[in-house]
Amino acid sequence: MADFKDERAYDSKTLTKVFLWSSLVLLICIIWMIWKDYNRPWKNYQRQFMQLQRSMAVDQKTEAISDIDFVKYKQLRLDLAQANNDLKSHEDEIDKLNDQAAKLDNQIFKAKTVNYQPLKAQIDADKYSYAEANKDGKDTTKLNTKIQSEIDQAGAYTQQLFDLQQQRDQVTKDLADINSKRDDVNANINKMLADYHLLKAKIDKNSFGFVFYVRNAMLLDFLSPTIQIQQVVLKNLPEDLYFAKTMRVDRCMTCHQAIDKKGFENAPEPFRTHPHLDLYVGPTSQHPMDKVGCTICHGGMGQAIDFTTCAHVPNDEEQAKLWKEKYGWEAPEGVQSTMLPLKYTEGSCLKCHGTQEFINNAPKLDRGRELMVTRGCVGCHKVKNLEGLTKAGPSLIRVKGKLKEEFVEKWVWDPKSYNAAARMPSFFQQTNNSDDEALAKTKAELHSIVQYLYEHSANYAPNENAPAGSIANGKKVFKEIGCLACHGIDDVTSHHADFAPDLSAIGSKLSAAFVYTWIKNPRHFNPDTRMPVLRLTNQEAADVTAYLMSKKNKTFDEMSAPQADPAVRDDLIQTYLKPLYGIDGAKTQLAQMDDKAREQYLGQKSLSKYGCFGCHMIQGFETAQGIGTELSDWGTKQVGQLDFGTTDLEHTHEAFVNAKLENPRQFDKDKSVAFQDRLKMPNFRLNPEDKEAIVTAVLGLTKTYVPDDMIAGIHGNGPLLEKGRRVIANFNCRGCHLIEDQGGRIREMYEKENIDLSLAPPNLRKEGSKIQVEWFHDFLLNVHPIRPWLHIHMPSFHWSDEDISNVITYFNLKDDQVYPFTTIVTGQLSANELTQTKAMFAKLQCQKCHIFGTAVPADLSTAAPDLLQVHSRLKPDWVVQWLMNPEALMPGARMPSFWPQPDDKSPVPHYFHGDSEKQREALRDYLFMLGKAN
Amino acid sequence: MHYILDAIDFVLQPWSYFLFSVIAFWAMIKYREKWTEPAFAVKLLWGAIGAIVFSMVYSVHFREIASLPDNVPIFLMVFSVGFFTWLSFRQGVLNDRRIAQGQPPIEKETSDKKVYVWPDLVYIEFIATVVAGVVLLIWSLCLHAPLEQAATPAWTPNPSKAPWYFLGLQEMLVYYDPWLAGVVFPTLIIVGLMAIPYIDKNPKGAGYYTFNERKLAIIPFLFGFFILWVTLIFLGTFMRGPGWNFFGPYENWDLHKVVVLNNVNLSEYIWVRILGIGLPSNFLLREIWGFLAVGFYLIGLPPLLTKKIPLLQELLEKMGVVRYGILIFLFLSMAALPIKMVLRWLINLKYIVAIPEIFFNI
Repeated sequence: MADFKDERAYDSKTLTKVFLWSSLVLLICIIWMIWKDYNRPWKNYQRQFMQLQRSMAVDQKTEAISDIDFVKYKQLRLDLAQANNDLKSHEDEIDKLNDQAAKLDNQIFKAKTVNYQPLKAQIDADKYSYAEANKDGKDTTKLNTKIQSEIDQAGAYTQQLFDLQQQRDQVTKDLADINSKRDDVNANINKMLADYHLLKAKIDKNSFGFVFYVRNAMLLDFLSPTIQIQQVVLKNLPEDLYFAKTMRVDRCMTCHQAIDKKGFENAPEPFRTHPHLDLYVGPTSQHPMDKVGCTICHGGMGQAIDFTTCAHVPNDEEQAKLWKEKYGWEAPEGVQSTMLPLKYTEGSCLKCHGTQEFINNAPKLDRGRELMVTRGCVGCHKVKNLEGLTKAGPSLIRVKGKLKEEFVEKWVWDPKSYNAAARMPSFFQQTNNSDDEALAKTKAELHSIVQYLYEHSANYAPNENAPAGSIANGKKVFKEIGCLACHGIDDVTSHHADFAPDLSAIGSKLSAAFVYTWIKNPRHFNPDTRMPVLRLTNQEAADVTAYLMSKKNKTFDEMSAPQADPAVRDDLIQTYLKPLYGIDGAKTQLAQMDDKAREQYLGQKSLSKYGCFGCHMIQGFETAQGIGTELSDWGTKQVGQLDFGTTDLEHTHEAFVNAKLENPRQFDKDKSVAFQDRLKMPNFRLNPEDKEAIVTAVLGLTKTYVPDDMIAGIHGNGPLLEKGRRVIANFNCRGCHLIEDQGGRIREMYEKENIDLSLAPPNLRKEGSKIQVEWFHDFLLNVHPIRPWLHIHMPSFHWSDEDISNVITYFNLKDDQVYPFTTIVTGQLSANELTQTKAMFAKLQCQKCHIFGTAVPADLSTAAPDLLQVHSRLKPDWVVQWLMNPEALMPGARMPSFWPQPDDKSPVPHYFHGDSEKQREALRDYLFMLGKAN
Repeated sequence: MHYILDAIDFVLQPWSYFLFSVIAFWAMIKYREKWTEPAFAVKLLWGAIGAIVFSMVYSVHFREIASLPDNVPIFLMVFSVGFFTWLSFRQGVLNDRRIAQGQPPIEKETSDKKVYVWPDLVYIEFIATVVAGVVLLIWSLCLHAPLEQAATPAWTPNPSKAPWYFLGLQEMLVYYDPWLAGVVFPTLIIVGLMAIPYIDKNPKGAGYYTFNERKLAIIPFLFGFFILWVTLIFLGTFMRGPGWNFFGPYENWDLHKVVVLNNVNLSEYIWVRILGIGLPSNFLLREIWGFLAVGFYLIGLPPLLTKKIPLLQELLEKMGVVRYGILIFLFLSMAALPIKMVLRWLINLKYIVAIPEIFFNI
């Protein structure tokens, strides 16, 4: 053996040592592997949440204990002892009853399981055999007899069971009677300690005991762990993987444990309650978690349960830095869907609410969508659901009669030099067309565009000259009468509307005659204008004209128009002609054109190039299509398809669209691009809030599959409501009125300047249940003042029958009115009732505030509408409700609540036996009767 | 420092990379006596480490690519191939010296001794298994498996790279049609490797390292392995970026890089540019020159070469027609890749035979 050892190639001791150590390292590695698989961040979050819940429950328990009335509790304990004591004398009786109960239970069991159930099974089997035997034509008389006897027997068993059950019930009742006092005291004690017990259970549930550790131990946690992944599976909202759809699985609540639980509003993330539990996530909200989930709105990878892989996206740099430190966050890469930064989340509403005119609960998105229409984004970019709308800019069909050529050239060359608040975007002097060559070319283009517009303009002359007016009074009228609901002006800083042009420098733009004629009758110039008539007197109109004409921009007036070089123009024309005719052909073609033809040619080409017709009505471009990229599903476009050029932006959708709105031409930076191929999108000079709103709206434009039944605004009355809402948006009704509790933007001025809000345009909440259809229709056709004490005027719109019908239908359907929307049902008052009502009417001093035909209250500033118009204007049911509780129908109503809620105590108990409802109905009937009599 | 990096990026092109590889290969064979000296080899090792450290320190881009979990094996490959090549050459050089002096090779001294299968062999094999297990576990625990995004036909990764060990094959796809580069050549490689013991009956070099005695076997094999496989993997890893465009090792992988790719088919060269009569409409006629060229290469060239080169004649006599024929066919197949590469770089040749009508291109 010694020889054998010598011949060994290796020393066996060394080998054994190496083997031992390497095996140990392998073992450690395997344990390490299992630990790494076991130790996941989400488990820690769930443990932390348990601790949080526990500490909160401990605090609440202390509070619950301090709430307990100990004197009462002690008394109850004494009562309980007493009751137990009393029961001692009945011990025999109770024992007897308990014995009886046990016996009866046994009998019932026997009757049920031993006797009845097997027999029932036998009957069913026999019935089957009977049917089969009959089918085969066998003799079944014997079988039939058997079944009948079995049924009789079963009947007997049932009766026996019934009797036993009755006896048993009696015993239970007897026992309860004897114990009743003790049970009552016990119930009282339990009631008193209910909160305490609940909290105690909660604390136990969230404590880390032995069972918790065993159930969640490494390698044992596959059996029945308490810490586990939580998820909702959304079959209706599949994730679109381009050519296949998979179920959406959201596991966000694995870490966001309190997202649907009240009481964690101020907890640290990720344990905070959803900030709008009433609207989202909550089981009774419109968007419950099990139907809608999380990622359909927030985006991101719902199935991931790690901070980075579920594609969180920060709001800004600061948050990114914080996340990197706290969670080791990295920018998501290679995922189908990244989360929308929180500030843009409203955009997701479009997935289901895209067909709706406005969403109300998404104010930023509503604003963004409005801006996309009013700033003209949709003029160039096709956007689904925002098609065929009124163009953003004024019609240029009669521009010749409105503006001077020189003004147009200066204006388009640099709109902000005329008015920094102007909505017209800047096409020229941008970062990609400001070199000398491009400046010369753009000047030539601009000149030709203007030449084209004036050549293709119809003639127009204002029909009236403006009389002399007072600037001071004009300013007052302009501010008070309602112009500010749509127009902005720099004299008023408390409110700036941008639905219609800003008028801060209008005096440098228009002639007095034009302004005067326009104010008095805008349709004289443009039959299709949305500008309404404010029914100003001639003097008021003259004053406003004088005021507006005083608003001049001196610097702009002194500027000269850019000078175009005809040689540059000819060069440009040739670049258009060359591809068609070749170099020599282009020269020949050009030579054949005279100066005017050249201007027209380049003008037409340039208008097409810049897409001016997207916002303006221009002759010759009536059917032209917008020149921008379609944006209908831009939010789901691949980032790789966006050309970031040489910018050092982050490659994300939000960075791109932000940059595009900040400086649309920056993506041409460093590139060699021919002049006519350079980026053309103009600079809209948006303020940060508006920009964020538009980014929100654009990011929300996605291609996401949502089943029809989840789409809002297309079911039931939806389409009819949307038609009305379209009119409301198109004519900016919400510039003045609160509709669906949103809008009323002009109120901002009243609030900031401390003007009584009751002088602001009325809130149109419940308008459908309030106003009679006929009256509504007549009013919209022929507006007349209802509240003469208001300075602000309801304008006279020139609405089509369809618009009026749509709006009235909208208001009525919104308030659940039933077709045909109006039912005048009022009672007839008997002579006695009439006397009582009249007395009541006087007692309540209705006429102190309300106009009553020709009788006008002394103080008009606190006045209320004419009561003689009630019968034709208001719906009877509404009047009764209004009398009952004005505040409920219209928050901030000036009408006093005579019948205070909720006790509904009558202020005039002597009439109608104090029956409040009767009283209100009587008043209503009286008003209707009076109105008709007049 | 960025001037140096830019200069390297500028100098390295597919053709120059290939050229440098061939020069290095030639130097490796030629100066084997010198670089196999351990002292010199250590310098080489430090040089390689230094080059990598230099690249990692001064180029953010290189650092990013090199530190991807996918690319760790590349470094293992570079150093292990280097080490084992050195080891075999070192042994071969030493043995060649001994053989020249009439001594037996080093292996002769130990080859008479015997060891036990158990425990000597099995035990150390088992230990090796355990150690390998440890290494793999630690590797997979420390570096996450490089999973890419969910597969979507509409959004493929760019660059879309094969597993690292197939990057040499993928590089062939630049020069050959998929059916050749993806099907025929890989098959030939496997079949060829399997055929080696049947083709090569030469008993010399069996059981010991040598270079001089097996030049003809070693040089073509190493050319195929180094130049057409290992260096192409390196190139595919570090120098092929988005759009499968060629990037210098320190050049940022710009998704939007645009390069000139005007490749021309042989038929166009001959019919249009030389004969000036335009492409015939019949594709067989159109590609007649390509067929002739390929036919000549595979059928005409072997006899011609054999006749002209005495060394080949000697081989033919030793091996017999069948063995020799297979060897020549395999050799020409291997040579087809560098030939096509050179043609592409010199005259922008796209395909020798181009029949897209039936998806047949050579």
